[in-house]
Order: sequence, then C-alpha cells, then structure tokens
Amino acid sequence: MESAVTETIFDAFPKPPCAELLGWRLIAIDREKQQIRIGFTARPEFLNPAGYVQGGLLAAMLDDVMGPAALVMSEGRLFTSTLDMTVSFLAPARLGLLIGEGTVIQLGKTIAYLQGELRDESGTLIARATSTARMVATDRLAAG
Amino acid sequence: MPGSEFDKLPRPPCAEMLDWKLVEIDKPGKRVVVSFTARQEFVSSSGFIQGGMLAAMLDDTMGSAAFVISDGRQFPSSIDMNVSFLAPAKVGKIFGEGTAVQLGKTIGYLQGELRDEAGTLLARATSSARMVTTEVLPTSHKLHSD
Repeated sequence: MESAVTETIFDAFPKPPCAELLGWRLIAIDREKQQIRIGFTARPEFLNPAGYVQGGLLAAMLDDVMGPAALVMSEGRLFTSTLDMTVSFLAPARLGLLIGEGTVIQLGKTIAYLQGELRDESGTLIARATSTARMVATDRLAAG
Repeated sequence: MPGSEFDKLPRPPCAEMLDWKLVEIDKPGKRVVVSFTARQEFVSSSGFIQGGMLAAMLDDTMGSAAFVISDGRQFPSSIDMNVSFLAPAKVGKIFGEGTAVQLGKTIGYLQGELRDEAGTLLARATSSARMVTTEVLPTSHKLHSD
C-alpha cells in the first residue's frame, strides 16, 4: 500500500545540492512494492541542442530515484554509491514536471540491484534504468 | 581552440550548466577532448559529485565526438547509455574524452571517459545513439514546453 508522505527517513538527512538542482521531491513510499515515487522539475538549463532535456540529466534524475529507494527500504541505514547504471531513452522529455519511480529489486549487505522509470505528466515513459550500487552505512556520511 | 564544427551550433543550455569547453579534436583518432566544471550544485549526499551528473558529462562528451566526427552533419539522440563509476569525483575541473567508435547513417556507437586533473579515471560509458541530421535542429533554443 502506498502511504501518505508525512514524516520520512529523508527528514533525518540534509537535502543534497543535486536534489535541489533537479527539483527533487518525495511523492509517495510503497514498502510492499519496495518502491518510491519522486517528482522532478526539468529546467531550461537542462536542454540539449534539440531543445529537449539532455539524456544525461534524465540519468541524473533516475540516479536520484534509485538511490533514495534503497535508502528508504534499508530504513535509512544504508545509502548507495552507484557502481554502474544502464539507461534507455524512450521518448524526448520537455520542460516541467517529471515523475520517477524507483524500485529496489534486491538489497544485500554490500550490493543493491535497483531499477527506475521516468514518466511525464501524461504518463508517457521517457526513460528507464537499472543500476547496481555498493551499500554504505549512513553513519559514514559526511556531516552537514 | 581554433574554428570547429561547434561554431555553427548555438551553445545549448546544458553545455552552459556543465561548463562544457572544447579542448582538442583528433579526427584520425575519431576522438574529442572536452572539459567541464563539476559545481557545488552537483554534489550528492555522499559529498561527491552525483553519478547522474557524471552521466550528463559523459553524454555531452560522446555527443560532441559524434557531432565532430560526422563533420557537423549529424548529432546523436541517445538510445541508451551504460555508465560505470570508478572513483568518486570532487568539485572542480573534469576532462572528458569521447570517441565515435562507429558512425552509420542512422546509428552511432560511442564511448566516453571522464578523468580528473590528476588523470584518475572517474567514470566510463558506452552509448548507442540515433544519428539525426543537424538540419532539423532549431536555430535558436525553442523551448519544448507546450
């Protein structure tokens, strides 16, 4: 079941600069499905020569849905250090709201297998990714 | 850097944000070297540059290679990209080396590497891209927001 977002594990961490840049905001957490939903804002600074959002910036958004999914599903004990990521770009992305869905496929002590999807407001699938990440204890995070 | 294919292309906003600069073109090697500035705004919770922002730099590195090696006739629209993150990246200058491994009429196979100023390999990527003629590019940055 998807639970309403009130107090979450994210309250315990300062919002990192890249989350600010991407307009990151938590929409929902679904523990049964091991899934979280995040909103992003594609800004004019993200556009490529074709006038669409540059693919790498969509990868940055996908990175920021898969990592937080692992953080939530580890109850805030572990954060991800991404080892590799494969992204497929399915449709061009325009300025504005993009919605990411991050799923934890398997969470081990040291390695996590993650997947992410990015859709626009009309529900069109823009990009999808899979990722493997090294899991690091959050008590090793730099303070502040 | 003397005149290049890039002079004909308006500088896109994402190149501005990443502080993209052309360093070297090596046409026989099908290779370009560019540089970026990893800004404080790109930092993740770990205190290092977020992996996706490195992917954005790799995308612009590989795209630059495809554009130059096609003599400015084609630009790549990425189909997929596989990135490996090898070392944490700090705020500051990052160099990208992009290679057009094979350019067909419709598909390009590209690879890219990012290094810091000390030469440490930070991330590498391969990508396949649909090659689109530059004639369809907007002459100014029309924003696809409607």
